[in-house]
Amino acid sequence: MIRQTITFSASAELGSGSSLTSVTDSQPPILHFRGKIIGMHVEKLKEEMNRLTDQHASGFILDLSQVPLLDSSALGVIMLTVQQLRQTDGKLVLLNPQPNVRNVLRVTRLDTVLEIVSDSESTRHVP
Amino acid sequence: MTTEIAHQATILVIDDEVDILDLLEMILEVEGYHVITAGDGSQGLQLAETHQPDLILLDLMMPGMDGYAVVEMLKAKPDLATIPVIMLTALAQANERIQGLTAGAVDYITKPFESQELVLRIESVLSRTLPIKYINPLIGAMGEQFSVDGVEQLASHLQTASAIQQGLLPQTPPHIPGVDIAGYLRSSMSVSGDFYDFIQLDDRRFGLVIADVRGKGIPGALLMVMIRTALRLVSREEERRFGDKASTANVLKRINDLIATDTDPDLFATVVYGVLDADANRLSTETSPTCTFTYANAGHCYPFHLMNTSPTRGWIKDIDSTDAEQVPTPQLESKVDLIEGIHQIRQLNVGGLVLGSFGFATFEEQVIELQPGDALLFYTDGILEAENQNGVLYGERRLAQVFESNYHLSAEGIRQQIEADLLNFCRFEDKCDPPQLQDDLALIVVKMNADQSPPTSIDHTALSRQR
Repeated sequence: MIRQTITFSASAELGSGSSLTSVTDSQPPILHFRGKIIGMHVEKLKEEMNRLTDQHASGFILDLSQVPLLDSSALGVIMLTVQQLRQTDGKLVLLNPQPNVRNVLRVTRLDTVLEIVSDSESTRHVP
Repeated sequence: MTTEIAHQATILVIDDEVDILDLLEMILEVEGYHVITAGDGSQGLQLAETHQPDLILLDLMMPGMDGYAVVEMLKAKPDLATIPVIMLTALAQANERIQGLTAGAVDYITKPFESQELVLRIESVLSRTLPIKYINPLIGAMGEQFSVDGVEQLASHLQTASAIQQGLLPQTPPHIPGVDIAGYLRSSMSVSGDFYDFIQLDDRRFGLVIADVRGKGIPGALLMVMIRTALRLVSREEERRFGDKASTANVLKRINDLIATDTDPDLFATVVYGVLDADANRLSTETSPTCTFTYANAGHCYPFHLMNTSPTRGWIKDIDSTDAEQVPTPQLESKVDLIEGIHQIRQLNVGGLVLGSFGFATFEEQVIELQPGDALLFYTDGILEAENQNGVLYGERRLAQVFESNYHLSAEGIRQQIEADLLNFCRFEDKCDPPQLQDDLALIVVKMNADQSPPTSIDHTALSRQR
């Protein structure tokens, strides 16, 4: 539903089949990540999340549908973003996390400080 | 090695002649370089800023900002000053070559150029500058001390840090009658983010800690030392202050407050802190001694509780009474019984937010009763996320199976079998060496001895249960 109205505005190939694409002309903006968010890729995610946090104080969506695994550094980036967005009453929404990732979010209780939605639901939760 | 690095390098070419730009781009891309081009000096500076190239090919004679001005601007910016510049000059311009070299260029190439000479000169420069570029952050960290001696000193500091950290691990498990305990840490680097700890509280009780600190290497190790020290102090202080009302959830809450105030949210740890009490009824009028495990969990993988339900052991666990306080999380129901074995394994799934990220985090406490023959397994996610050569993860189910099938062994025996199975799982078929694990790994096995009495007398316990 969401994807029909957007155009890609920034994209980066990160090697080993991973990529990161920001769509900032949609409301709310969406950051698509493809591949495992581990090791060096976490820095790229951090840069992009920081940029989006600065520019979109009300929050944005991180699309995790193509992310089979994320490491603890990636969780750290997500937490940093949640904390920063809270200062402006903004929200981070995670879209379609896969079972492994969803499990990590549940065990760490991060699912209580951010919003998780699946594609079929609306993303109107973000102002 | 150097050639391999050089071929992945990014080269910025600045020249006002489009034909030359195209030609250079073609030659260098054939050689495997990543090439970006700029048609004038100011665009070149911009691209240098955004792309941080490994080398710049710069034409001296350009309208507007000429090559000398570009070199001067580059040298004036700390983040660009170290990028090597090779000048492109006409044959006749000897003075200008000298002027360019004086301004800070490392080499020059005369136009028209031989493509082979161009490539060789670039390779020669990169073979000197690229290794330096990659150790630059290290030089920064070492400050004035950068030298062969400095590198040796840093290496020796790391070894010392590793030794200090090893020294922080419990050398022997606590001595509690009837309780068999084994702890284990395997580090993927010289210093580690995972750790476990035992804190003896009195002759019947000890605190147990398993933790996974975010990040490996030095940052992880520093946070690890901080959390370990805080836990030792706070857990004992909590006991002194609150006695029987001491709460594991409160201990985690206090440490969370400390770390959340002092560090950024992306520095955090997942921790299980629990207190094993081998004689929880000593102050009550109950005649049968009871062993309990009271714990709180800050975002850590759920520990396993193997319940001794084997009929051959003489008595069957009364699930209803011992699980009175257990409130299973609905979505977890399918996971409560991890395996179909002789013994039932459940996950201790009371949890909370990770430690150190959010000042508002609160934690819950759960008390479980341990029967003779029960066992607990604590682990870090290094084992769940270990991959085999097909990219399959080790996972909870396999861990539970190995735990259950080696249940008859001692705590240390169970611990060894889990490690052996993990290494076997990760072993690449074509390699004989033990595989390198990507992550740190910590394990604790606690086994309630079925043969020995938990606190008082086993006969008495068995009789009172049978009644």
